[in-house]
Amino acid sequence: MVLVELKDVFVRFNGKPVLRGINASFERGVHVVLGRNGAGKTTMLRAIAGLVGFEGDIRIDGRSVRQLRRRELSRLVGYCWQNPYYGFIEATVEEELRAILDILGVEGDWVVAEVMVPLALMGRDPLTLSGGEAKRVSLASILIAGQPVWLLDEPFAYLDWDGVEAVARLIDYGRRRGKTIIITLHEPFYAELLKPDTYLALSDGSVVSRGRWGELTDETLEKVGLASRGVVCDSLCSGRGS
Amino acid sequence: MRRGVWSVILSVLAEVLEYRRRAPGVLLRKELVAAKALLLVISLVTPLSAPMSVSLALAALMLALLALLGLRLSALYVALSALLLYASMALSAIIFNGDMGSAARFCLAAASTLSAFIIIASTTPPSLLRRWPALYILAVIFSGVLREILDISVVLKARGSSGLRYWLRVIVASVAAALTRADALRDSLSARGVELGE
Repeated sequence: MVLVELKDVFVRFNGKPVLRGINASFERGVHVVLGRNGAGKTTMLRAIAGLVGFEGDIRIDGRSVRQLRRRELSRLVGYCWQNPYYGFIEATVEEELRAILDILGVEGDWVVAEVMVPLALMGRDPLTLSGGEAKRVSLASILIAGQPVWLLDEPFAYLDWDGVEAVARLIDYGRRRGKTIIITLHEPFYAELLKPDTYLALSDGSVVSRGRWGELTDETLEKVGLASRGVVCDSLCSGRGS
Repeated sequence: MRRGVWSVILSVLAEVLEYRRRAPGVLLRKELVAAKALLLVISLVTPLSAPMSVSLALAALMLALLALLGLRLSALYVALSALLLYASMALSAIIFNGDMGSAARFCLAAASTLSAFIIIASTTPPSLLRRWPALYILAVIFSGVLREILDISVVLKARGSSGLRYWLRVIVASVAAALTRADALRDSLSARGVELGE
């Protein structure tokens, strides 16, 4: 069942096209959007979340994003931004987690907080957290509302290995709960951890390639300016001896 | 001297932000929001309408309240700035044959209102204002901008800025950062379902 659908979506900033006629659909499961910096990945997620104006049509569960009220859209879509510090709005981590629940009037899914946020952080000021801690709290502060669609913009940025594993567990939890999870990444290493269902490769605001994850080739990765698996393996192996 | 004044202002901002984390739970109760708003109104209206002795007592009471809550640096800042303001206004009144009473009332109003504002800012996290969307958004942005100013002052100091140029840079960078911060918070609030309008 298709939950997120983009039809001929254009986004322009000051007249300059950032997304150029994107057509894509995402069913339940995990989907990665790959592309180098500036390819349009974040803008695509922001368009789906209704945070940026666009031409064309974007539908969530058959309903047009343009016609959904902000609160309805936020109940359907959990958009997690890249820089965690810029999203904090409350004085403590616990209040930060509760904010979206109070605004949307939902009970929330506290498993998300259990997976992502160590209890010791609950009383802290979010702006005093380390980068990795802030990223964990930032993700949990949105996804705790239990939306059926998760949009994760570079979710592994800032994280140490414990954090990476926590995000991987969270995504696995979301997958088991039947969510549609769209993740942007600028390098495919983390995608290998997640075993996504599909990929979509963006370059200069256009879709270069899309398909099942197993069908992603090194040629496609190189075409969108990303390190191919072969290059990564070669570098790792040749570096080991030196 | 100028550097000292700015350092005190930054320290007061830091004290306000830090106090939110250690404020007694009773001060953070939703039920107190109306009382705090009333305090702000009283602190503004009384010095302009009540007898001078009442106004003076109110200003002293507000300063004592600040000190009692543990916001001692803020109390000191309010007292010193009110005295400086009064000194300059009194001097102007003498030179230009103005009304000393009005100058005193103005200073008392400034002192008591600023005290009330600091008490509210220190004990009212944005979450308490969620019922009033416009106030909530303002409170969120205000908190974010306060933090931004403190962060920028640290960054500029680390880069070796000093003197007047340092403070000018803090002000200019703070305004720019405040605008960026307001934009980022707009996204953050929208993603959480807050209607902000166009």
